[in-house]
Amino acid sequence: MDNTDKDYITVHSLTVHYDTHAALIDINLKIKKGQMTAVIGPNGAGKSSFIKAMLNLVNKTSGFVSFFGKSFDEMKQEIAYVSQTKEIDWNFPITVKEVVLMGCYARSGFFKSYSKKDLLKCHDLLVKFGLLEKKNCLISELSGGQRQRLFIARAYMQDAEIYIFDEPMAFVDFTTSEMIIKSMKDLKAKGKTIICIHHDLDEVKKEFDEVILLAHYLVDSGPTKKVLCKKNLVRAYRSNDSILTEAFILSKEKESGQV
Amino acid sequence: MRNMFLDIWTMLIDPTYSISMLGSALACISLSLIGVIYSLRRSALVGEVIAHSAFPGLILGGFIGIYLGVSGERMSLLFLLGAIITGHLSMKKLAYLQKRWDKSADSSLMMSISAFLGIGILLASIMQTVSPVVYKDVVIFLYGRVATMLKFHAFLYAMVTMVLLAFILSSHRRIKVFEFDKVFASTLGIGKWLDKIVLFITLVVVIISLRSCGILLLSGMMTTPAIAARWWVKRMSSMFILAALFGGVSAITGSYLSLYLGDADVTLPTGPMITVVSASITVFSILFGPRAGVVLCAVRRISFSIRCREENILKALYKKNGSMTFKEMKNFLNSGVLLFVFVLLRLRKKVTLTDRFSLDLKQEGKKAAARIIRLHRLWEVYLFEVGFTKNRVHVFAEEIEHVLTDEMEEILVKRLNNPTHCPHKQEIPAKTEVAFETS
Repeated sequence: MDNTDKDYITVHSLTVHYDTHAALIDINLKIKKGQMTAVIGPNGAGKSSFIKAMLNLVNKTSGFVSFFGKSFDEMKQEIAYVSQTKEIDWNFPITVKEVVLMGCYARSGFFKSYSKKDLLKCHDLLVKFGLLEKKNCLISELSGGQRQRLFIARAYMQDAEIYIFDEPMAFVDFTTSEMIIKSMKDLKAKGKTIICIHHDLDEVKKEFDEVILLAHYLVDSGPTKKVLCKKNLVRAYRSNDSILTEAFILSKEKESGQV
Repeated sequence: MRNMFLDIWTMLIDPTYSISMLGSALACISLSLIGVIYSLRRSALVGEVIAHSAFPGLILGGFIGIYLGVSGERMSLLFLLGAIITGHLSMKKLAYLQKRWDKSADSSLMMSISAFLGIGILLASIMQTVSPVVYKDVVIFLYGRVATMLKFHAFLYAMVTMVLLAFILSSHRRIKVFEFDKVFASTLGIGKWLDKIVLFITLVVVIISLRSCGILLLSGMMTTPAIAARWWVKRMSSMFILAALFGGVSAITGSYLSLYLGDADVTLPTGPMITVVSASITVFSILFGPRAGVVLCAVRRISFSIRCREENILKALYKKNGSMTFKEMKNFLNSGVLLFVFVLLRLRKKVTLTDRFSLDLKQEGKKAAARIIRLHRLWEVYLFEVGFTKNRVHVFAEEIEHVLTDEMEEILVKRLNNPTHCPHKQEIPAKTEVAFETS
């Protein structure tokens, strides 16, 4: 491992496949520290799987990811993840404040009571994301945008080095998405690394430094201007590369004896 | 009622009954606590699966016991061991089926329940011919019985309840994070082992509770206290406390009823009795619980409608600048006599009764009426500003005037630059003339 790895999140020949389909095939790339990186690609191109594989949330078929030269387990505390809000049971009996304070557990463990600093930070985040009035409400009373902001506030509570977002702008209004982008820029100013799945190519062009373009395989990655050229986009969004995944699935099915 | 409590008390201190009462209470408390976790997961049927699939295990344990020639406590231990093994097997099978079938959790659950119970019933009929004595012991488990509980059982219950309480107290934050957001939990590195511990404790709790709650109704004991608790409180920790309380109360009351209402001719099994008590608590909670309880909602709805009518009368009196007869008023309200009397009673501090059965506004009444009119006209101004036409605004303001709060009034005044007239060129009562609710 050379020294430059300390400034990068490195993904080595990452392959992920589920029972019924292949999500990612042999991804190799580097993500620069302290930059805002967008992950883009058509629906079902394996963007979520890419992020989840980085976080060990799905099983990798092969490959590994190192964070600034360290393994995931060593860096676990330094990674905050904002999942999609639709995966949650929003009728769960828990208050807004409790959810934000969950962010503390990553650092201080499950037994310590909240310190004054934690409570103050929680208060600041509630103000920042416009949730202060709702702090003692049950989460079922929140609107879609507020739910997204709540999850982001919880991630910021973790005070991590790397922030990973899974489509934070899906189903939120303009004000909320402005708020989210602004908060990401604040993080970047503090030297944090941001990885974000995004659908809005115009916004990606405007706000993000680097882009990873996926279509089951890595189409291209690097500085935004370089990656978002017409050739790459056509390859990712309009090409008919389904034969690649089809062949891959077939080989896996044969191996497991299902066909 | 008082007698019943006295009876329960004497039974609790009477050594012959105290063991069985305490035992069933402990069993139900543990079941309710575990039930809270599964109700949060929305998979309440897991208890049902374990309970039903324990049945063949019990009988197999019995066969082994007959073969080894043991009885009493050792036999009970064999029952439990057998039950734990088949219970665990069924959970494994369930997990496998759900992974393979993914889409139909219900069918996987039903397959596990019916397959294991079917095998159990077949084995039970064989047992009946092999050893009627052991068969009798096994059948107790179907409906549950506390009367013949041994010290050994009560001791087991106490141990398990203690372990469960220690687990919940020490890791309630972990449970909260894991049950709320599994993805977040696994980024924090909890999950896999927590899930396993919960499953293991569930297995043990369910199986040792079979004897007092019965295989067929045990899952009722797991689900109802948690559901009932949800109608009273909104935090997970309070849910645990309240569900445990409901579980304990149902167990003691249910055991008492089953012991005392039954006699030599009619034996009332404990399991159903406890479940009936617990279900009654749930129904009571749904009706009277402070969080959207049916009765409470009705009371709030009626009191709001009375308040609206009251305010409408005040307004009418104010606008007429004088008195109104009862008849006029009743027509104005367009309501029944009962409601009318109710409204009048509520108004007694704000109006005076003049002769000829008519009403006059007191000073307080005037202020209250001015407040409503102020809110009404402010709302009209607001609606007019945001683009509603002049003739539409009145209808909406009629409804909104009753719900506007004083804080909202302040916001409106600020936003509209303290207007003096409504869109229909009528004067808005000044703030000084108005009585504000101190809320």
